[in-house]
Amino acid sequence: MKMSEIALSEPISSVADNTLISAYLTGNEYAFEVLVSRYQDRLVNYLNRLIHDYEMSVDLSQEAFIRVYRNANRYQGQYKFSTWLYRIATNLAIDEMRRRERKGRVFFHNVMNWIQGDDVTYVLPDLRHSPEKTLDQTEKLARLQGAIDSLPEKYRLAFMLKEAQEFSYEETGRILEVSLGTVKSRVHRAKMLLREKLTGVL
Amino acid sequence: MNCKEVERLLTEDISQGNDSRVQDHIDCCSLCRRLHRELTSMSELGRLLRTIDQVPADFSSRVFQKLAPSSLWQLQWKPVLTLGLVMLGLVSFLWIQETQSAREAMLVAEETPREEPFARVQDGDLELIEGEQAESDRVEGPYVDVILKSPSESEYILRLPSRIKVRTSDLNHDIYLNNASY
Repeated sequence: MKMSEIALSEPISSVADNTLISAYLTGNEYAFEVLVSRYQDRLVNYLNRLIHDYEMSVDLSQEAFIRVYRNANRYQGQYKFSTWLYRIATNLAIDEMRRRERKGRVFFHNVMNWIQGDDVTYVLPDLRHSPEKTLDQTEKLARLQGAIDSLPEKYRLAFMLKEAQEFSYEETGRILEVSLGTVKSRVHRAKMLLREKLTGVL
Repeated sequence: MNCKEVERLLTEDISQGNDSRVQDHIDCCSLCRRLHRELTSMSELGRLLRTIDQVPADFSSRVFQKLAPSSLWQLQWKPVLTLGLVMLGLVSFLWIQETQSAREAMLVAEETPREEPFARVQDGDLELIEGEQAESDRVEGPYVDVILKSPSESEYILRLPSRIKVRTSDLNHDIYLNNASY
């Protein structure tokens, strides 16, 4: 039986992504709506962590879904739908980040990077000897986010997909269109850089 | 197991810190113990990145709104584009053919020697420019057939002796030999 012939015979909330795409390809628009609602929160959150502009993240997420809608017939069923969706969304985010960099509208977090280059160490106060040694989780998260933002793009994306979005190394490789070894190396490098940048926070 | 291997395993997956060989190394290496502690802390902190805010309630309806006005076009764009390209190709082909035919006709016309005027009507007189020696039952001596074209495009053929003067009201028109009559 071809994927496109599979009928939706079970509760739609438990139907696999691939089956929903197949149902959509046979004319079931509701199946596409289910896919949107399944990924919308996670996708907007991911993009917002990359570009720090909520409205733009919403727009880019919608654009990603629109591209999925229009190109669903190109979807290759052997890979997870989420990796395809995230690849589209990641490419949109990369374009947006580069567009902003070109326009000089860099984020405050990246000002140091922009001026001195990617390899600059993100400057954080050394809290090892601070009386307020214990930071609350919100502040720690803000510092982690700042350190992530200061990473070179390739490390930042690999770290965000693997650690924050919980994709496997294989899936992260598929999203970024790089080999498994390259992904592992990038995640490793990202963690070691973050460790340096977050001295006193971790 | 050395520090480099432990670093690689821990950064790849923090849960590998539970591996007995890694654990043995960590127990006796302060640097790797610190690395394990910091990566564990990073991993816990990283979970906070997964906190998800709910998107606006109209998110999906906005997706469909953006799709709606042109969805038919989006679904049909391939056949429409194909048809358009075929039509464009056909029109281009016909145009090229037409242009080529016109060019060929022009070349043929250019290659065909123009017939020189035989006579010209001037001031009411028909003056023969040249005549040909020929035999005829009706006209003695050299004669010519001349074609007179009236403004209404009617043609009149006159067989005339080659040296004459005639009077005509049809002024300023060239007169050509009717070659067929030779």
